[in-house]
Amino acid sequence: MALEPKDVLVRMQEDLQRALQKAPGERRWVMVIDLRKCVGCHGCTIACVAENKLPPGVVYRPVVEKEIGSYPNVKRQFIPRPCMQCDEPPCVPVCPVNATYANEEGVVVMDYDRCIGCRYCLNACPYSARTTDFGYTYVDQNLPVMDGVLVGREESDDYERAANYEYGKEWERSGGLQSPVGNARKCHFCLHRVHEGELPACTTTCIGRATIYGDANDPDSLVSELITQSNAVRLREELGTKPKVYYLV
Amino acid sequence: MANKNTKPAPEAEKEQEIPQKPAAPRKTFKLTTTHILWGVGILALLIGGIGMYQRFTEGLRPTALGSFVPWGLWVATYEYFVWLEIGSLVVFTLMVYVFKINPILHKMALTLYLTALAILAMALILIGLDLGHPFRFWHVMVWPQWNSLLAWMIWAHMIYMVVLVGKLLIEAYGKSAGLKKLGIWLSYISIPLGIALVAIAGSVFSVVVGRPAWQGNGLPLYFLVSSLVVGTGLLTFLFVWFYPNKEEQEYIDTVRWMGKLLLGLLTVGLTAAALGGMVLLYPGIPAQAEALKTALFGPLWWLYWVLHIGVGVIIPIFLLLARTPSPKQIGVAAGLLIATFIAVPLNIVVPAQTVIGIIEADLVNSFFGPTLNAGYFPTSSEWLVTLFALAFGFLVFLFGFTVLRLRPRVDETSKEVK
Repeated sequence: MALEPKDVLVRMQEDLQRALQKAPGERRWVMVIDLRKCVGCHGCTIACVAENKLPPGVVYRPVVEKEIGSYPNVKRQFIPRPCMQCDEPPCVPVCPVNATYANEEGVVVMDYDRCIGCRYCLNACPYSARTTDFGYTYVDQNLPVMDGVLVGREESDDYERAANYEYGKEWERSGGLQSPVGNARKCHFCLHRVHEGELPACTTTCIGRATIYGDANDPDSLVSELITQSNAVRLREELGTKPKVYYLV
Repeated sequence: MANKNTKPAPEAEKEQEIPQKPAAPRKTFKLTTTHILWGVGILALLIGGIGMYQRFTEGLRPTALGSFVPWGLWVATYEYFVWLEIGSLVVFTLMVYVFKINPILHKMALTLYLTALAILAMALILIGLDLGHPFRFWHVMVWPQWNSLLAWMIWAHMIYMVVLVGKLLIEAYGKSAGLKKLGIWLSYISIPLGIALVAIAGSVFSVVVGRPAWQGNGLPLYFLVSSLVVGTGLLTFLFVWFYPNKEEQEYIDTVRWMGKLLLGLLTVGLTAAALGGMVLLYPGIPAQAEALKTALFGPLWWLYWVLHIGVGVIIPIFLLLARTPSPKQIGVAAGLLIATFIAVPLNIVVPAQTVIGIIEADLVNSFFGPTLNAGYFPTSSEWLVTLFALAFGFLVFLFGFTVLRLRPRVDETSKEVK
């Protein structure tokens, strides 16, 4: 009798626990996105927004939609696009104050308190994976492109202004212009969750198990298996940025 | 008719005893051009202050900037001010101190340094306010990352500011031979420093891998050429406008010489622009070519063709090509050039960001937000802040010119500047 295959979430959880036993410098976090399994539900985007309390205009994990062909031969393609966490990140050397850097685990992170908000990194990223926090909130009365009725405005307002915990710190949103407002913001592989033994929000939420996360330095991890497949590709490889996000096509 | 023998009344006696004070000459207020200029400057500052209030209370929200077009009017204007400031000083220093030609120009030193300082103030206001956190500008001084050309640019500009202020102070108040020698050495230093600053400003764009239209080694050189063109234009304009003895033959000859230099540099600039454009268009790669096509034939085509080429290039060339152009003609040509050349940095900065890559093109239609647009046109708030910076620079100049009297140095027998 064949064994029931293990749910990839369970497998990834086990991989994660193993990785956390190692020193941070020995891990190499990698994400694999199986485009054949992505159904374009945008669940990962919503999970990311909720986890990091992202304001309007700030997006870490959009799902890019492409329409290919013309009627009646039309197909739709969905490409989730987190930060590529490049090994050679073009956004890092342009920062004039060292406010963005690859940490010892290889994840490109931000120092919100040091960032001056010059937005040079936004222009430098060839994947447009960075956005600036201009200080909007979803309950803002004058928010452009957000017409419509908003039910429970006051309750939503309280929720939006509650702190998020990116990089393991409390970042309140009191309505002023203090960080992270005015800063460049980006996906950080939910390191604050990962360090607590939880998978990134986009990974746990994916209904099709299309997003796989783990330590590529662990030969037994699921991501190590997947990135060596012949159908694993990376975006804009010709630039030599060596992204740590792989796509299975 | 009063009788001479008549006894005067007691009150009249008193009046005679108290010597009457001579009536003080009445000061009558006379409205002068200087008063009007101060009024205009302060009014513009107050109107621009509305934008400043918005900037400090609402951050960058009142701007049209976004995550796909993060740099706009303020960055372009900053670049233009760097061109003007550095270009004029480099051309001046080369002519006066290095090649020692047109010595009459040295009399313009104070006015030119003052103008450059006013432009520098405007530039720093705009680039400072473009930051998401303007009050953290000092982070670049404390934690600079030398891999970043932006850090180099800010440091170079700061050092240049110190050199410029030193030159101005020495020129205005330095009497000793030692100080004068120091002033000359500062002038020498300012040439490579200025050239480096302009080239670095161009390199800030050309190293950006995310914007194919900027990439390559062309922009630093193009920035240098543009800086020399507008710098010569500014120097010529100031010379024609402010030099007091307009009947001097040396003045007329020098203006004509500068007109020829301006014409030559303008020709070089046009050639550089045409070559750069062809290099972008020829391979037919949309990511590179579209930005230029947008600048030339997009919704703001008039900015390039009418404002820059028409008013800023063709008319000046026409004026400069006259057989014996009058100084006034040359001054008008220079004025038109520098007033409209802002179209060039705007066309370099903005279209390259609005023409987005394949990933972003689909992204724009996939995720919506107030700052996730591919288009850009400055908002009223951005124009108001720019007006504030211009008014501030204008008032700095006016203060230096009228109160500190940093004016062209002329002989005692010469006419006073009115």
